[in-house]
Amino acid sequence: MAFVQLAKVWKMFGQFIAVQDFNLEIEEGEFIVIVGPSGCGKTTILRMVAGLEEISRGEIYIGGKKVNDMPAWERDIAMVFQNYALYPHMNVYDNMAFGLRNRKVPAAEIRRRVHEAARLLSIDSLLDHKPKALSGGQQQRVALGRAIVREPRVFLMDEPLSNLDARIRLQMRVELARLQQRLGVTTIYVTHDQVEAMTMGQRIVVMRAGVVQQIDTPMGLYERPTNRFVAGFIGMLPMNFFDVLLEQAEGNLLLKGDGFSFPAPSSLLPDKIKGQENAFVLGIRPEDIVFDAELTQQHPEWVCRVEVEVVEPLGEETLIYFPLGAKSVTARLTGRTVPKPKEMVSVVFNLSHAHLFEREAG
Amino acid sequence: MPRRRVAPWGYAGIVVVVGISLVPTIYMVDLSFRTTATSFQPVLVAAHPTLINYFTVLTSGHLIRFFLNSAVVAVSSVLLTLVCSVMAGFAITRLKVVGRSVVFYWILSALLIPLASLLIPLTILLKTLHGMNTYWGLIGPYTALGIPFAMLIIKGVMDSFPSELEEAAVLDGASPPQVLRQIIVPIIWPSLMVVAIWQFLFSWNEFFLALVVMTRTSMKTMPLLPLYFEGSYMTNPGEVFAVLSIVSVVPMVVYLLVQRWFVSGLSSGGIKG
Ligand SMILES: Nc1ncnc2c1ncn2[C@@H]1O[C@H](COP(=O)(O)OP(=O)(O)OP(=O)(O)O)[C@@H](O)[C@H]1O
Ligand SMILES: [Mg+2]
Repeated sequence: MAFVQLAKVWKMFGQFIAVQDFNLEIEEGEFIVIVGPSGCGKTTILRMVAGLEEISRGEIYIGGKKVNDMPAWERDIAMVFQNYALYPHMNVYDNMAFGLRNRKVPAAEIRRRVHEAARLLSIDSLLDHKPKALSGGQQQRVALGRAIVREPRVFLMDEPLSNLDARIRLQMRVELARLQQRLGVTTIYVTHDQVEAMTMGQRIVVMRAGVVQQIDTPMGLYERPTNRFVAGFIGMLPMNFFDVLLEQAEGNLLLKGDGFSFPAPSSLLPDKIKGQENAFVLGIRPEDIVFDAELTQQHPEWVCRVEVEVVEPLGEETLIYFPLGAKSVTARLTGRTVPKPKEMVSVVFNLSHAHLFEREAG
Repeated sequence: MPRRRVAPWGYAGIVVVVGISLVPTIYMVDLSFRTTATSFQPVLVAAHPTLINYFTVLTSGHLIRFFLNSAVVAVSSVLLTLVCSVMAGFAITRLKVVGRSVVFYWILSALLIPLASLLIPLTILLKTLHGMNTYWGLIGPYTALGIPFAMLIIKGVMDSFPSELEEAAVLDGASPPQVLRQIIVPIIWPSLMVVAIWQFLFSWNEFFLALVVMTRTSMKTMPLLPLYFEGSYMTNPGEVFAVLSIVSVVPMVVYLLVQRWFVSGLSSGGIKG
C-alpha cells in the first residue's frame, strides 16, 4: 500500500463541492505537486491531509493507517503555509523549537536539530530575530526550517514561493527540490505555477474546479495531455488550438480547419475518435511549429505559407505570431534565423506532436 | 508605529484640552490640602496647603481595610473576567459549537442593561444565596457585568487573528489548550490589558452595588470611604477630597504599569501577504 493514500475523497462546503472524488497514491519519499488555477481545491486537499478540515466523504491513509478521525496534532505532518504563519511573539529559534518542545524532545536534541536546520537554510545568524524583522525570503526559510526540524512523516507545502520575487523564487525552487531529495520526506506541494510544477514534481496532479484532470509525470503531461485544459495549462506558452473537422477524402483522413487542411497522421487518432464524431479541436504547441528543412522534406503536406505579423526575438529563440484563418497563431522558433514582419515564410506544423481533443471537453 | 510630528498649533490644542480636563482633578487634589477655613475660597489653588486631612484619613483605621477589600474584589474580578472571556471567546470564534452566535449575542445583550435596574434583583438574589457582605457578592456581579464588554473586544481580535497561526501550532503538536495558552494569549495580550484596565476601573470605582451589598464596615470598599468623612453638613470637605485623591491614585498607577502593552506592536509581523 502507498505511504499516503487518498481514496474517493470529497469535500463539500454546504452545497458547494470543493473537491470531487479525489484519488491519489503517494509513495514514500515522493515529491507530488498539485497544480491548478485559483479556487480549484488545492489548499482544501492539503488541509484535509493535515487534519485541519474534515473529510466529507472518502478516506485518507497515512503510513497504512486511516487518519480520518485522527486529530491534526497527532498526525505528525508539517505544513508550510502560504503566508508562513510564523509565531510573531517568538524568535526564530523558538519558532523552530516549538513543535519539538510540544513533542517532548530533549532540550539538547532540540538545540542540535534547530542549529542543523538553520545552517542548512543559512538562517543561523537570525535565530534571535523576531519574524517581523525578517525579509520575505528569510521568513520563508524559517517556515521551512520549522517544518524540517520536526522530521515529520509528510511535508505539505501550500504555494510557499508565491510571496517571493522572481529571482529568489528561482533560487528557492532549486534549494527546495534539493532539500527534499536529501531529506527524503514524502512531500505534497501545491502551486498554481506550471513552471514550479514541471520543475519540482516527480508526479503532477492537475486539477480544475475540484476535479482531477490528469495525474502524470511532467513529461507525460507535456506529451500526452488527456484534455484541452491540461494541454493549455502545461507548457511555457499557451498551446494553439484550432477547431477542425475530420473528413474522409481520397482514402485519406483530412483535418480541415480555418485556413488549412492537413492529412491526419494515424498517431494523432486515438481509438476513441474512430466513432461517428468528426468535430475536434487540434492542439499544437508553439514549439512544434518550426522552420525545419528535414521535416519539410519528410512531410511537405504539413507546410504552411504564412505572413508574419509580429516578431519577438528572445535571443536563443524567437516567437512569431501569424494569422491563420481567423486565428492568431504563435510559433516558437529556435536558431538564429529571425524573420521580419510582413515576410512570407514557410512553417512546418509538426503534427506528430499535435493533439486532438473532443470539442466539448473544455 | 512611526512617530508623527505634531504641528505647534497642534500642541497648543492638546495643552488646552488636557488643561480643561485636568481642572476637576487639580481642584480635587487641591481641596484635599485645604483646611476647613480655606475650603470655600473661590480659587483653583489655595494658599497654605496642609497635610492634616491626609493624616486624619490615614489614621482613621478604615482606609487600610477598605483598600484591601477593594483590592481583593477588583483583582479577582479582573482575573475572572479575563479567564472567562478568553475561554468563551475561543469557543465562540474557534470551536464549532452549535448556536455559538446566539450565545454571543445573548451575552452582548447584557450591555443594554444599566446596573441601576439590576440593583434590586441582584440584592434579592444575593440575600437568598447568602452573598451579602461577602467578597463573592461583589466579585460575581462585577465579573458578570464585565464579561459582555470583554467578549466584544476579545471576539474582535480573535476574529482578526490569522487562523493559520493556530493551525500551524496544531500541526506542531499543540492541543487546543496549548494553542490558547502559548499562541493566542501572548498574541492578544495588548487587548487583554485593555480589558483588564477597563474591568479594574469598573470594579474599583463601583459605588452603588457596593453600598447595598457591603453593609458591614469591615467589608466595605474604597468608593464607600468618603461617606465616613462627610460629617453631617460637609463641615470639612478637605477630608473627603483627601479620600477621593487616594482612591483615584490607584487606577492611575495601574494604568501606568500596564500602558506599555497598549503601544507595543506585538501582534504585527510574522504574517505576510
Ligand atoms: N471554509 C470554506 N467555506 C466555504 N467555501 C470554501 C471554504 N474554503 C474554501 N472554499 C471554497 O472551496 C474552493 C477551493 O478552495 P481552495 O482554497 O482549496 O482553493 P485553492 O485551489 O487553494 O485556490 P488558491 O490557488 O487561490 O489558493 C474555493 O472555491 C473556495 O471558495
Ligand atoms: Mg490555496
